[in-house]
Parts: sequence; C-alpha cells; structure tokens
Amino acid sequence: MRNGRAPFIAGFLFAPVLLYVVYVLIPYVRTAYFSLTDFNGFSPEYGFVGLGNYLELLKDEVYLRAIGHNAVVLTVFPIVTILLALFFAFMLNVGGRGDKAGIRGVRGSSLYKFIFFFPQVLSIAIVAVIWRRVFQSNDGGMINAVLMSLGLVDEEKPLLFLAESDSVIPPIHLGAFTLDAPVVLICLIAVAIWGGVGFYLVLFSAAMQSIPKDIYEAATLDGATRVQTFFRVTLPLLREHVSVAWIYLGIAALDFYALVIGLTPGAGGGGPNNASEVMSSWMLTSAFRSSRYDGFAFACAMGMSIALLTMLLAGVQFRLTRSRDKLEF
Amino acid sequence: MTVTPDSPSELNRRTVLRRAAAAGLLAAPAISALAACASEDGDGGTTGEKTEANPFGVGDKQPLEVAFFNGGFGEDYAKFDVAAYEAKWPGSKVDLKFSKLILTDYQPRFYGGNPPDLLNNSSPETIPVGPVIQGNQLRDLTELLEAGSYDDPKVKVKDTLVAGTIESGLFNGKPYTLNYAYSIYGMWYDETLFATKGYTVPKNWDEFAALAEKAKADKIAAFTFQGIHPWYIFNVVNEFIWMAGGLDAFMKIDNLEPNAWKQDAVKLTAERLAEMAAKGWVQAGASGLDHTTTQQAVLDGKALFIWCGSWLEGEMAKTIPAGVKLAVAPPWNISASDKSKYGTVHAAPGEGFIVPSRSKNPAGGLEFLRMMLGKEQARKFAELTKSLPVVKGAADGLTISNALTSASKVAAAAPEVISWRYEGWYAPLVTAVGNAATDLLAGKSTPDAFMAAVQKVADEVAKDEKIVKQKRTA
Repeated sequence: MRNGRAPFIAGFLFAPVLLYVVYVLIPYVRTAYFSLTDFNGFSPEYGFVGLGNYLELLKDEVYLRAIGHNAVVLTVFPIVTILLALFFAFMLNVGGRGDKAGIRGVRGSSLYKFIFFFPQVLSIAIVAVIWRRVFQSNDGGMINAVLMSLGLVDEEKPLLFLAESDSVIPPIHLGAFTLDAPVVLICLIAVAIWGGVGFYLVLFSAAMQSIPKDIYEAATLDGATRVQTFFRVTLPLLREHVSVAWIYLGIAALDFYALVIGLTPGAGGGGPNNASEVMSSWMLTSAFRSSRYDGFAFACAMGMSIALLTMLLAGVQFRLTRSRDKLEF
Repeated sequence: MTVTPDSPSELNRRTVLRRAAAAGLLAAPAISALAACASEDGDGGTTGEKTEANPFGVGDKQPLEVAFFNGGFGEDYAKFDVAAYEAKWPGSKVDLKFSKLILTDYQPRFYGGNPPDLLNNSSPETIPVGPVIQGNQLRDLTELLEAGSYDDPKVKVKDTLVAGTIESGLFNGKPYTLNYAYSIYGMWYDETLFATKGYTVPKNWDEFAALAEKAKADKIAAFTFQGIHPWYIFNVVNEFIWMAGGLDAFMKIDNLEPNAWKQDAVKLTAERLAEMAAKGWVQAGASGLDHTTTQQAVLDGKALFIWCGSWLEGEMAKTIPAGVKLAVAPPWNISASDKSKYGTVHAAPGEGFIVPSRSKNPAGGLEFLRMMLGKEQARKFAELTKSLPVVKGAADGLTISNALTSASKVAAAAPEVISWRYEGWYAPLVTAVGNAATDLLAGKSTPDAFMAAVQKVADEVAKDEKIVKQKRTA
C-alpha cells in the first residue's frame, strides 16, 4: 500500500508543481539573475555587473518616494478595510434589534451583502472606468457635479482628485527619501477600500455564522449591549480570520499596480508628476521608459526589492498574529 | 516616445485592459513562432538575385512576416499593401499580424532572436530603438534609402521622401527607423465658432491675450490641453520655446548643455503658461481630464484652442457636431522679441517602421517597405487614413477633409518647419517637461520651479553614463 501511494501523490502534484516551476520559480530566478546584469530586455547578450543596480536603487528619488506611497497604503488600506468589513459583517449578522427572539442582522441584510460584494465581481478595468467618471475634474464628474450644484465648489475651480498632487500630510524628507500622501493616492485607497470591503465582509460573515448563537444569547441575557457583544464576543472569536485578512490586504497594499495604471495621469500612470507612483508602477516605467540601456536589469533589481519587502512584511505579520490557544466550538 | 498619430493618448485609458489581455496575447506570438519553426525546413525559400528591380535579392516564394500597429490608421492600408506584395511576388505568403501594443507583443520576439521581417514600431509603447541597436538587432536602412524607388529605379528612394523624413529616424547618425506618416501639429480650433463670434486667430501674444479676455467674457476658455497625457503640453512648451528662441535654443536643449532650461526663451515660455493659468484662460479642471474630453470641449465650443496633431479630425470623427469646421493655426508669437516668424510650424514624420536584422527574411522586409513608399501605396494610405504619408506629392489633388486641407495650407505657408530631437532620445526629460508644464497650467507651480525641476532632470540625464548620448548638429 505504501509503495502505491507515492506515485499516486506524485501524479496529483505533477501538474501544479510543473506550472509553479515554469511560471513562478523560473521567472523569479531569472529576474534575480538579470538584476545582477546590464540586460536590456531585448538582446540575448549582456554582461554581469554585480550589485550595482541595487546600489542605484537607493539613489532613485522616485523609487524611494514610491516606497513611501506604498507605506501609506499599507497603513491606511488594511486597517480601514478590516474595520469597515467587521462593522458591516456584525451589523448584517448580529446587529439587528433584539426586540424579537433570536439573533439576527439588520433588516434587508441579504440585499446589503449583495451590494457590498458587487465591486468584487467587477474587473479592475471596469472599476477604473467607473471611478474616473466619479472623480472627473469638471462638471461632468459625479462628485464635482454634486458639489457644484450645492454651491460648495466653484465651477471655475473644480476639485482635481486624481490629478491633485497636494499632500494631505506635510511631506517628510529624509535625505533622498520622501514620505507624502497626495490626494490622488488617497483617492486610490478609497477605490481599493470600496472594492475590497465586500470580500472581507463575506469572509467575516461566514466566520460569524459559525459562532454558536447561544454565546450571543447568553451575552444578551446578561445585558450586554451591541457594542460590548462586538468587542467581547465577536472580535476575539474572529481573531484568526482578521489576521488572514491582514496578510492578504498587506500584500495587496504592496502591489496597487492596476489601480495606479488604470486611474492616474501620465504615461504608464503614476502621475501627476509621480504623485501616485508606487513601487510596481515605477518598476514598469523604469524597465522601458528610462532611456538607460540597462533599464530592464535595473527594473529587475527593483522587482527583487519589492519581493523582499513583501516577504519581510508577510513574515512579520505571521509572527505578530501567530495564533495562541484556539477556542473549539 | 514616438509621434504616433493615434497618439499617446491611448496610454492610460485602455492600458488596464491591455495589461489584462497581455498575458493572453503573449502566448499568441509564441505559438506562431513554434509553428514557424516547424514549417521552416520545408518551404523556407531561397534568396533571389539582386537586380535593379529587386535590389535586395528577394527570392520567389519566400514567406514574409509583417507586423502592423492597429491604431488610428486602422488595418485597411496594411491589408492593401499585403495584397499588393503578394501580387508582385506570387507564391510568397505574407503573414500579416496586428498588435495594439507593439512593445508587449514583440519584446519577447527580439529577445528570442526570431523577430518579424518588418515591424510597425508605433503604439503607446514602442520597442525602444537604442537598446535594440546595441544588440545589433536592427537593420541600417541606408541600403533601402539608396536603392531605386519602386516606381522608377532611376530615382533613389531617399529622393522620393519629404524633407526631414530620414533625419527623423536617425539614431547614432544612422537611419534605423523609417517614419511613414507626416503629421502637422498646431493649435486647433473651430472655424465656425470663430466666424460666428467674430474672433480672429491670434498672431502674437497681445492678440491672444485680447482674444482670451473676450472669450472669457463669453464664458469660453481660450485654451485647453489633454491634461492627463502630459505629452501634449510637452509639445506646446517646445513650440513656445522655439517661437521665442529659435533653433539656437534647441541646439542647447537637445545637446543637454548646462542651464539650457534656464535660458531666456524657456523662462518666457514658463511665464506665459503661468500667465494663462493665473488669468483663468485655461479650461477649468483640464489637468485632470483626458484627451477626448478636452478635445470635445473645443468641438463643443467650450474652449477655443487645443494643441494636437493632424489626426485630430479622424480621432474625434464620431463626435464632431454638425457645422463644426476644424482648422489648425500655427503657434502664435509669445513676445515682440521672438526669434521665429509667425507661421513657423511643427511638423514631423511619425509612425515608424523598423526592419529587424535577425529575422528570416529581412530582404523581404526591406522590399515591403520600398513598395509601401511607392506612389500607389502612398496615395492609398492618404485616402484610407486621411493622413499624409512621407512620400512627396502622394496626396496631391486629394480633397479629403477640411482639417487636412487646412493643415496642408499651414505647412505650405510655413517659413520654417521645426522639430526637436530630445523627444526620441531622452525619455526622462520628456516626462519631466510634461509633468512640470502640467503643474504650471494647473496653477500649482511657478516659472522658477518649472525651470529648476526640468534642469535638474536634464543634468541627471547628462550625467547618467547609462543613457547613450546623441548630438544635434543642425
């Protein structure tokens, strides 16, 4: 029996492992190798240059600023998304009025679930088209049109949103490094939250439904308010799910490529004037729009540094959220 | 960045869609490459003898692969050319491919050493010529230019092209790109609106200022620009600098001379842009709008002028209201002490074609290009695309559209035809100018900040040993 199992397992694993090797491992290894060369992306001939590309990364002001932008996204996006998703999930599942017997969500909760989840089924391209109309910087833009008709915005000075490079925090400069949070970046984060809440709402909903109702009933009998129930019962029991969400959102925050490309001004996105550049968008720009003959190799070094940062982040988060004692129910 | 008549405009709008599709598209050339390998041994064909009528020695029944950009010019002219080639060389099957994103689709082919025989290197993202030449992967087109033309072997190909065509495709002093379409750029406006409102096209800054104030009173913005695509305003900056400082100014800029971006012509240009923003002559919110929205503003009479190329009418064809007559005016003078005369026009060949050197049938690629430069093909191009090809006299007598007639008139009357070189040489500088100018027109910057920001990038480019330097001599 044991002899028969190895080929059986291998048979199942062969296809996925092959795909993984061809489409993930080999590209990774080659990118790592190219990052040490002066490869231009077109010619099969190139030379070895060692760590030069990595040292230049530390001098690339736009890249350092892009890291700052990713840091801002990483701080704001996961926290707001998780808090909103938790709040909505709680309201939809156990937030209903307690005037009747049993624990349930607010009225119409299934409809809300559908509405919140809806952005998740839209492709990022459609999301980009929709939000460009919403944010459009004239009277044809949804937000501007509403504010203009209310007299809150001057028709001659519409809000620029995606073309607004002013930072909402005072920019911090440390040598070549800049930390700022331009309005356009905040707009992108808002779109990402809008698109992400639905998924985590469903995730948390499913988790909440698996919490036995009697725990809530006991809490209600003891006179717990909804707020107390949430913080004393629901949240501790959702710990695992929240930490998973945290890691997913953290990784998404280090990417953000599609939104930048789809929504922001400039060739290849990232504008206005690099105000919304994130690491991945600047990597693509560096690969083909830098005019340096080894731009591709330089971009490979950038890619490796992004991979490293992502792995570091995931490692730290796994460590911080390592599960303690599990509660069985 | 190349001057592409379908315009870099498409950049953001559909890039997401394209990126999403890229993974799928990438597979297609790979498959065809495999297919090509499989059939290679059987019918590779042989090269022919070089004769006057066959200067590159194209063989009978040699398969050819040509790849066209599917953009503003559409597919029709390419199909017409392929049919003509197949008729001329019976039995040589032409594999015609279209791509909306040349770089993504063909970068792997260059890297893999199996590029197509002729590539229309135009799209929002093109194959950068510099790195490819470094790897000896492009054919020097001198051979083509020196060959006898398609219609008359006594006349060399280079003598059938309009002035400036060859120069526009030089890299390191050698012709690697042949630009096929001749675009005329300038300030576009609606003749009908000007007639009804009694406006006149300004020739100098004072006239423009007076017109702008009059238009403001009529609640029309005097100027708008394709905000989120900085390439357009980049061109306005260059035209203004040329008006003020002439060729001298660009000898400094193109050759990355120290403080080239702090010279008087640049300062004046930046001040004029800042003035336009400060006085409220620019369409509100334009810096956040895309090309179609702002171009439509001119068609709808909400703005007077927008800078664009002669493809504008074709691009907006579906939404031009009845009665609107698009016309182009050269950039007006921006001061009394300008070095250039009014009427100076920016016109440049665009829509580049390259012949890869490691393809299977480069002779066929050259021959296909030679045929495209023949009279019949060139005229058909003008008819089908409503644009001018670089072949002399190709569109003579064709009354295709009001916009093109106006563009031709402006070009014919021009005392000087101008173009700058750094656009094709130093991408980071192009980006910096566009970004800094957008900030100026959005009222977020000052002329001094503009000059400092651009000069900083120009210095960085000049210092960067990894960017191959070019020299402008005239």
